[in-house]
Amino acid sequence: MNRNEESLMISPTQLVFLVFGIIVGTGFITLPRGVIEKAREDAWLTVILALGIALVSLWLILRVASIFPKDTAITYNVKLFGRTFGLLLNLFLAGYFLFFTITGVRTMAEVVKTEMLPFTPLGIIIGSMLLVLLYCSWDGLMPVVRINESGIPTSIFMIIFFFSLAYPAADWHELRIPFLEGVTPVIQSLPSTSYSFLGYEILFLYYPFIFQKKKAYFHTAIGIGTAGIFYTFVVLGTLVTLGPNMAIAQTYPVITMAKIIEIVPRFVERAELLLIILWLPLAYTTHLITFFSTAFAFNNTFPRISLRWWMMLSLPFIFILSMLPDNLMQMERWTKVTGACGLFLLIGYPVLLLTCVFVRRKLGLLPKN
Amino acid sequence: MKRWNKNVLSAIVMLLFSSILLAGCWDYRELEKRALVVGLGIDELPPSHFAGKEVRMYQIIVQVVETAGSSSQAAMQKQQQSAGYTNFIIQTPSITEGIQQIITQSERFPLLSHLQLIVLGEKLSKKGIHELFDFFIRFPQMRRQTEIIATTRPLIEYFTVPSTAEPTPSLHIASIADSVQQTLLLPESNLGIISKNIRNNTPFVVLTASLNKKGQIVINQGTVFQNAKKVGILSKSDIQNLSMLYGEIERGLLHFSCSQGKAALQVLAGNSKIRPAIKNRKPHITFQIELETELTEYQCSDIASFDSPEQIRRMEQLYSNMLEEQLQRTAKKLTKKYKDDIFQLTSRLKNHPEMYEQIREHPEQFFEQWTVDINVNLKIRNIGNVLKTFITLKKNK
Repeated sequence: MNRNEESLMISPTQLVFLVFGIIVGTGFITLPRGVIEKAREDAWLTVILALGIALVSLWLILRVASIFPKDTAITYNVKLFGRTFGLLLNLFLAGYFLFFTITGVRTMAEVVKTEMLPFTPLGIIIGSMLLVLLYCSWDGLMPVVRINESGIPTSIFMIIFFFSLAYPAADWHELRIPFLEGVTPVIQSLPSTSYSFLGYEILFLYYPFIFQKKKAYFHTAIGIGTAGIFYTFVVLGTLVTLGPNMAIAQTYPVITMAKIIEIVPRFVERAELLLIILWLPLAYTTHLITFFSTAFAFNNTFPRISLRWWMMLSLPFIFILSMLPDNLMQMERWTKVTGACGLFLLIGYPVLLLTCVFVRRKLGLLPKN
Repeated sequence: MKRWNKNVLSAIVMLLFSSILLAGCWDYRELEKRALVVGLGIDELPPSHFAGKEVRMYQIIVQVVETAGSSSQAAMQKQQQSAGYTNFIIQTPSITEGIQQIITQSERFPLLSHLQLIVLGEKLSKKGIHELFDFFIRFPQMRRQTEIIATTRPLIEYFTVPSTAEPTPSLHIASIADSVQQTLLLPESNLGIISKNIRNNTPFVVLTASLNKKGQIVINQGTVFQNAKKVGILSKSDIQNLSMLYGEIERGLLHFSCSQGKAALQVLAGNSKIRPAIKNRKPHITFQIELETELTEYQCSDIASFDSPEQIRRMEQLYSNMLEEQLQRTAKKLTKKYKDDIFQLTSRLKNHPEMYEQIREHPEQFFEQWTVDINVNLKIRNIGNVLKTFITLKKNK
């Protein structure tokens, strides 16, 4: 942590919006397809269960972070696991954020190209997004945090208002009494749904900057909870407007749902374009945090190269790698692998850290609080 | 360099740079260079043979609206002379290929995001529309509110029908379809609803347009599709009754006959709920229909005046019973004819697993066995400005 960053603090409100900003991004456009495929009419319950799991894993992450309140994971990885294994874990963490950015940016570009700019090359969409990311993250963590704080409330209010316009076309018969086909279908789709809650693992990096550390769980939980409620609203909306059979057959079910909306007949005919305009700020905040976190994690691992240099260096990597997959389906495979790594960071990694802390304390290598 | 000099210099560079970005699109295309497709008609042609295989052939009529955008005098004059639309008639094995042919025929780039109407030809409806819907669902520009109409006459007649209010026939038909769905108690017939039914493999009704003797468009029938193929035609009263059973009740008129003439009630609101049960091991469905109406015309003598609530209650009871009988008759007739879920019960039975499974897996068996009860609760909320009928005036004289 350098001197400038030590003086920075994330306020409770900023923490709520930062967490919400990173969680709600590109994933929710395709989320209903994955959840409804297995859980069918109970898909909204899966989202609520996944929210519960996220809150448990948040407790684990904060439990570890509170043992080292002034250190980022980059520092305590080396302290706990030694130089080599610690370095490998740090590279894993930085690489994870790198791929989180790559998959997110490409998915966003695919949606924009398909629905909005069919003749614009993917490279132009991705390139321009990356330049705006670089511009905002150039001056460090606080501009990133403030962009979330200032942009998210308006965006989320407008997007919820927009989706509400689809609800009058809802066929509520598409819903069913919960668990009519047992609990198994709901649980089967839990792992893929949990991917949508990924993002709050940034606390491994930014916990030292949180202003009220004792209330960190409460404030982060508000951010995650709001994202969970938003997801439930979107999944429920897709279910009742499209029905399960239609929803699972669509590439972007949420956009198909938006196509139902007709604000003024024959005036605003393609409402899904409005959705994309409202959604882009949400996608942008996610990319911004993951992009900054990539450079931040690399900079903390190799402090000799400055944060700005890491940003500049990662930019062409993100651009080239995001252009590599041939199509959206190949990209989704990359997203699944990144999601699996994210699940490890949410549950496996904090458990591993806690075990290591416990063993080191038993051996007297780490002082007890 | 002084600090303010630096700032001024960077401001000039920024302004110059932003002027490049704000000057407009580099790949813009004038509106008249785009073919704005507003109507699409598709019908079946005799199949062709390609590499030893039989390939379905379609006749596609693409109606493009003509825009007035050119600044040249000649183009303006040509525009004023034209009918306001152009029909491209194409024979093709696929819709995409057909639409692409517009480029070679008109030098314009087709744009489908303003498509208002899809017209299905009779031969095509009989052979099946399953394959065609892949394009309509897959293509990102398609709107789910695009109206779909079935026809009984050659397609070209619909795409050249004149109208005083709307010069483009597709927009004229789409407006009529939209109005009748909102005012005549007819079910929705758009791309979203129909693609959902095709995906769920459930029967559906597409509103059907015909031409009267004056050559005007009339929408007063419905085409029934089973497995995405036309299997029958419904009369206006049948589709109105079905609409009531579905619960798709918006504003519309109900007509009742009496010995002297007719009585008409304007529907203000309504809903239909079902109460499923198993009776004697057979499915039994009770439709509970609630209607809020106002009296708009009364030529009958059953009730002489409406100055007491009892009289209105009597009338409500009378018309509730008449409507129950009418709906019961329609339900029996359609069950006997189609033996399938034309009543759109499948999704409404989701909370009754036993019946849901039967209706999904063996619809024919379900509809052979089912019994129906219909309860109508019709309320007259407004009787208009007349308390005593003209029949009483006659008697007094």
